[in-house]
Amino acid sequence: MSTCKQPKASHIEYVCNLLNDAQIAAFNSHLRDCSDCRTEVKALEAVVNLTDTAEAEFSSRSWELRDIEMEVYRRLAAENEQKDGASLFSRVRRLSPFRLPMRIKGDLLDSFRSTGFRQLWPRVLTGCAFVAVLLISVCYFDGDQPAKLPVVKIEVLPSNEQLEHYRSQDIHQSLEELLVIKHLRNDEWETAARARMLNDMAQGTRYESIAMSSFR
Amino acid sequence: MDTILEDELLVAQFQAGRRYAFDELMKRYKHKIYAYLLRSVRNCEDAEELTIEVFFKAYRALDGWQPQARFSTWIYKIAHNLSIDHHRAKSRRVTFSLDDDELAIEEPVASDLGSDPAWQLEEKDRNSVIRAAVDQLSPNQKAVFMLNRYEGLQINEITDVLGIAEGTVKVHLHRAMKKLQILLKPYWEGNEI
Ligand SMILES: [Zn+2]
Repeated sequence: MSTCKQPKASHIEYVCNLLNDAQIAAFNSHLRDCSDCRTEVKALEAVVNLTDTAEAEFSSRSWELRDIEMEVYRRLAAENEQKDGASLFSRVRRLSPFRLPMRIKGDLLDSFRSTGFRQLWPRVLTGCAFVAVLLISVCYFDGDQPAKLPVVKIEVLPSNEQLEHYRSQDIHQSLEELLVIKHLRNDEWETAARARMLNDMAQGTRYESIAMSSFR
Repeated sequence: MDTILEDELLVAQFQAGRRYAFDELMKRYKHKIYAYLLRSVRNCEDAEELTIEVFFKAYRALDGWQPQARFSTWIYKIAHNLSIDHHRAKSRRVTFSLDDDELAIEEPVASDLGSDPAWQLEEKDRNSVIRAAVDQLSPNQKAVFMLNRYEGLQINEITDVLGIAEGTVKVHLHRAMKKLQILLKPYWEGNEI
């Protein structure tokens, strides 16, 4: 039966490199005299060696990862577009302090019911004009109250620029690959397939003509 | 040069408006984050999708980032949270508990581990059985084990990533190791000494 007083956790901390230099030295000197602890440490080391080998396969796969940068910038750009599209709506939504109080709305409805539309139309027109003025002021003077209406904005231009940068890098890379396939490998089928892909990629960019002319 | 400092410098550049600094941060961490996520979700496509999501979120949040912790632990934290969300979404099919205070070493000398003698399996099969054993750890045990073993994070850094106390991190690591020791017994017993 084991008489060793060494706490069990220290074996794991030793194997997992969590001890400082002094603790490692102390543990090493204990290991020299204690066969129980030596056995325990060896078993733990064997376990991590097994998992290291098994997990190493996954580390090597990380190099198969395609360029994710372009996808990240593409999503950021798409999000910006969405934000711009929704900006008027969100500005109006942020106007909650100016919303017509429910009481006034109720009064209006009551007077509508009691007096009929003909006597009401000047009020309705005034109301419409008020709403119009409100909308215009929201669109033009939104920037004057940043403290009250904070908007977190992601710059539109840089991420679009980045996206453009990566798109052109992608096109360049495809172009190079295509040249290799065409001239070094002489693979006609692959060349035609890649050329079609490149033309699709380059459409609407300044590389369109280069892509077209390279493979005639 | 110290990469921590470099990371922080890059973040500072980003925050000062030089957005291309983010490219370098992505270049530095995309393989690590992908490998971490791949070990977590065990599926290349999901891991790639999550890696994109990590950097997408990081870009949006980086303006407000304060250099209190290291950039690397911050980015692992985003990755970890996303992988937890991913597992939660999938847990309707595979049920596991996110509260893993039970060590639960239920007859785990897994039927597929025990049925084939270790030495009879091809190395590739053997590795996947070993990974299956790692996947039997609870999410927190697995995360602590992975972050320590494969991302080289110290306990205090794992604390930052997982948002749990140092003592709890140690408990998870201890339980993870003991559980693996039992699960993988058919493999290490023959090889030891
Ligand atoms: Zn001992």
